[in-house]
Amino acid sequence: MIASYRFAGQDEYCLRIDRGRDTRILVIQPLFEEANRTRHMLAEMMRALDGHGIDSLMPDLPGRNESAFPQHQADLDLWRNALAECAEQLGPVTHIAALRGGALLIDCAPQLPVWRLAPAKGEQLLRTMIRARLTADREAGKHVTEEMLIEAAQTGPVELAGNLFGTAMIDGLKNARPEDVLDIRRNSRTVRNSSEPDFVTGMIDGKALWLRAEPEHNAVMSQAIADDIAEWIRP
Amino acid sequence: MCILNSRGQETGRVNQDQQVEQVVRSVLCDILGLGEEQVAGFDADTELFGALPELDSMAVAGLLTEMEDRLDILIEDDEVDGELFENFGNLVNFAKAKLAA
Repeated sequence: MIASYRFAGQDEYCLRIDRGRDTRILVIQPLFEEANRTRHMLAEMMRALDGHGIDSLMPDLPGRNESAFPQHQADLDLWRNALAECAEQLGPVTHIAALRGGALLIDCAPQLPVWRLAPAKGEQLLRTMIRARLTADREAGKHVTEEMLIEAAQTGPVELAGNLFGTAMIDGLKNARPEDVLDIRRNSRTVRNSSEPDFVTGMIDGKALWLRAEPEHNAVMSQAIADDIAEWIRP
Repeated sequence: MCILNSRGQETGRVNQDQQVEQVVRSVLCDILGLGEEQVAGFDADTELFGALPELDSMAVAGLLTEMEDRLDILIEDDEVDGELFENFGNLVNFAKAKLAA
C-alpha cells in the first residue's frame, strides 16, 4: 500500500492501490491542515475505488507529512512538478481526483480529465492560516498584522498555523484559483457537499470534513465519493 | 449533514436575514461537527465561545473564512473580537450588518 517516488533527491511516500488495471487515478489531497483532516476518508475512498476496479495513487507532497523536504522551500509549482514525477514513476495515470486546494495543482498533468470536490481558492486557504496565526498572537499579547507577516516572509520562513512558508508559497496561494470552466475544457466533473457556487455539476451527500476542528471519518462519504468517481469514469 | 443552500433566490430583506442565519448555522455545523438538530436549536442567546470547546483559534479562523466565502463578504481582522463569538445572535447580527453595508 505504501509506495514511494523520487523527487529532488529524496523518497516521498505515496499511498497506492495498484492491481495493474487500465484505470489509475492520481488523488491530489487537500492542502495543509485540510489534508490531515481528510486522510482517513481518502484512504477509505481509495479502497472503495479498488472495489470498483480502479487503481489509485495518493502521493504525499514534498514538505508535508513525513517528507524530509524543507517545508518553507515548497511552493505550488514545486508540488505540481512532484505530482508529475509521481505520475510518471508510478503511473500511467488516466484520471485526476482533486479535493479542495488539490484542485490548484491539476496542471501537473494538463491533458487528463479531472474530478474535483469542493475546489478551494488559494487565497481562502492562506487567509484562514494567517487568521489563525494572528488570533494566536493576539491571545499571546503580541501585536502582529498580516502585512508584517507577508513582509517577514521576504527574508525568511514564516510560521502560519503550524506550517513554514516562504514567499513563493504565499504569492502562489494568493493568486491561485480553481478554474470555473474546467468542466467543459477537460471533460471533467466538479462536486460540492454544501455551499453551492455556479460551476458545480454534482452533489455529494456528506459533511465538509476538511473544515472540521476535530478530525472525523465518514465511511458513507468515502463510498459516495468513490461511487461518484466511478460513475464519472464509466457512465 | 450541513446542506443548507447559501445562495437562494429570495430577494426580500426578511428572507435575506433568514438566509444569513441559515448560512451561519451551516458554517458552525461544518466547522464544529455539531449535529444539525443541535445547531437548528441555536437562538440569539446561545453561547458560543466559552460553551463550545472546539472553537479554538484555528476553528475561529476557518469559521470566518467560510462565512466570507459563503456570504461573499470581507471581514477585516480588526472587526473580530471576543464579543463577536459571545453568542449566536452577535455572530448573525454581524453578518447581517456586513451584508447591509
